[in-house]
Amino acid sequence: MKKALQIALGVLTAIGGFVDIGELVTGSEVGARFRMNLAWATVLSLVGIVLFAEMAGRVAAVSQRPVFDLVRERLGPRLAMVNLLASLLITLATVAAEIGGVALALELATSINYLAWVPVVGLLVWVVVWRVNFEVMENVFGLLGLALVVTAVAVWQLGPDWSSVAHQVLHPAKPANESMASYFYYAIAMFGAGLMPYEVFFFSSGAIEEKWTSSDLAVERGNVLVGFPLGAGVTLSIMLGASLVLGPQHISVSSLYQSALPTTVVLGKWALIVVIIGFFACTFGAALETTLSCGYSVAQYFGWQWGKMTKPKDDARFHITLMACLLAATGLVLTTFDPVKITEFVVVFSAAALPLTYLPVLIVANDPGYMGDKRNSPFSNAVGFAFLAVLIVVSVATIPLMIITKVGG
Amino acid sequence: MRRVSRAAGVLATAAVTLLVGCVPTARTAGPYSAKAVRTAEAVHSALASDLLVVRSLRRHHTTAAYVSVATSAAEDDGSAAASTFLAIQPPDDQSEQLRDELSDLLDAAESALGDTRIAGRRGDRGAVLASVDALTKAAADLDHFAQAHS
Amino acid sequence: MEDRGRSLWAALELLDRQLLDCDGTPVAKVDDLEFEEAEAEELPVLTNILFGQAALGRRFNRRLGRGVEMLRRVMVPVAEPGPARIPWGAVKAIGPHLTLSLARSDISDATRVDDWLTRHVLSHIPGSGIKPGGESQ
Repeated sequence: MKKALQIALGVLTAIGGFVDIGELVTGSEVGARFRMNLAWATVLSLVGIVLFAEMAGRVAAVSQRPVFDLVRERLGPRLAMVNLLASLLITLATVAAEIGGVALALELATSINYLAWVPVVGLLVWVVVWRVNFEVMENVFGLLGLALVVTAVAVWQLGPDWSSVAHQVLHPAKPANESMASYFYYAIAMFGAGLMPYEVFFFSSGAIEEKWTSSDLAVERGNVLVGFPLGAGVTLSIMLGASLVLGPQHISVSSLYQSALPTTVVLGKWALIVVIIGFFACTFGAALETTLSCGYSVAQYFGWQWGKMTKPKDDARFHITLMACLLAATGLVLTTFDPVKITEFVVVFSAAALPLTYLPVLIVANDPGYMGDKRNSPFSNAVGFAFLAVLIVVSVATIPLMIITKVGG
Repeated sequence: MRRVSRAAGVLATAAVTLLVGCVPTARTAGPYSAKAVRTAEAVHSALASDLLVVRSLRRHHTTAAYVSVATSAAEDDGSAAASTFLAIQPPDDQSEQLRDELSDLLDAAESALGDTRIAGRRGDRGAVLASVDALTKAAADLDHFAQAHS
Repeated sequence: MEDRGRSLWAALELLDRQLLDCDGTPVAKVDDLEFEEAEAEELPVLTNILFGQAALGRRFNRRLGRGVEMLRRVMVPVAEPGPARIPWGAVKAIGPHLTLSLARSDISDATRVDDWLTRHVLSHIPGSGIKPGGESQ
């Protein structure tokens, strides 16, 4: 019974892990502009995250060391430092985007300007990271994140032409009024939103925080194989809702209120409140995960003691790193740089850094010294390396497309 | 170390190119006309979003806070698009004519968006619902403009 | 040492590995290794594990390493010149990570920064469970 509950809770948190401000904003924009013709990008990123999260979780459960801890000895200190700096920069910007997202959600609820909320949110995130038990943290925000399922209810209520939707999903086509460059740029954005660097490093370190061992592999796989697809499902319903309500009006999404419009228009006041709670939960949860991810990667690179499970006096450097990262991210949002624009940059740069993030996972998951007989099967490796090739192609195409389309155009 | 500095160099070049690409310029009539159309579409998007908010309000589907935030954001998005375009120097006479034509439509749009925002911020449901005509007309005009010049 | 007679490539199997203390607590990474010249035609002898920012700095760039070393001397005036060291004899087991026979609290160089931060920063933050002065409540 306890195992079933563990799987259930893990599943719920994985929904939140997949959906953050990136999916809320980019998912709505893509749905409005391209209808469901980019659903394949989300599905592809789902395949990727399931593949690599399973590997990262398995590494942690079997070797009792999280992936990033092992990156330095596999790649050497210089390459690992490049990896650290790149992921840290992107993840810091992600923390900023998520904090901005929480503040925007609170603005939608209260009409108090989001900038006033930013320091409050920064402080709240720190308080939770500092004091709240890891499992409680994951479970509360995971459960609250379920509120986003209301977007699927809105879609169902709209009663779309499912055969037409299926056609767009299975036989995607570039809409006539969009350029090929824009189409692939947004494909990369959607893809990057689902595969952000922090997800895998957090999942791996989180497995240690939750004290998973080899005997928890079933739980770990349950989380990954059920939780993330549900998260992708929520993303696709946000996309579909936008395509049905915003698309026909030729609305281009640049503010968070527009992501809530389909639910509001179709279902009403209570649904609006629920979806705003969902926005809050998934962005706050992501703010926690990204902040912790920054601390984990720095501490694990240098070999320091780390973890919420450890008493603060024993991992002071880890906690100081967390505070410094939160301060920097909060500062970035307070410069009044639009959080939605920060999000758009972050998902795209995540896509550009993908090989850096996932190659170490693949390498470590194959190490017989750490993994024993639980290392990657030839099948996993075949799929993993094939996917890595896709990641390299995506990574190389990102910056040129960004320049050609003038950041989305 | 050298590989890292080369990579940094590439990144720096990309960043500079990006920034250069973000500066508003339009040296010939073609790009200017395209910018005009894009501006019309962006402002139309803000108007259409406002109209959806109005529709939700009519059905009692929203909260006052949401209407306040949404109408303000819509006006901000619309004005930002309009002022970016109006800041660009038209390259020739034909473009100047285009600018004048669009400028009138943008004025009407900003006026409609502004009125809706004021009503929304004040929580005046009646006034927000009453703005539907101005919003619809401004949106339709901008839509025709965009179709005509695409 | 337990594994006598096993030959290892030091750079491959020792460098950048995690050092754990006798209780399995992370101490540091093997940031560098120190050797002593031996007789002619004999391999150099591994004397110490070097760790910490000074050691890592030196691996990246000699000047950077010297700079960080000087910083270390400023903070810990009684320390020997060079980066923080653990004698090779303290290594109990070699595997995916290196296990020491010492406890982390016995290795002053490893806990120094954490202790300072605990005493001077964390103790002032409510909810840390640490009294100002560094003792647990």
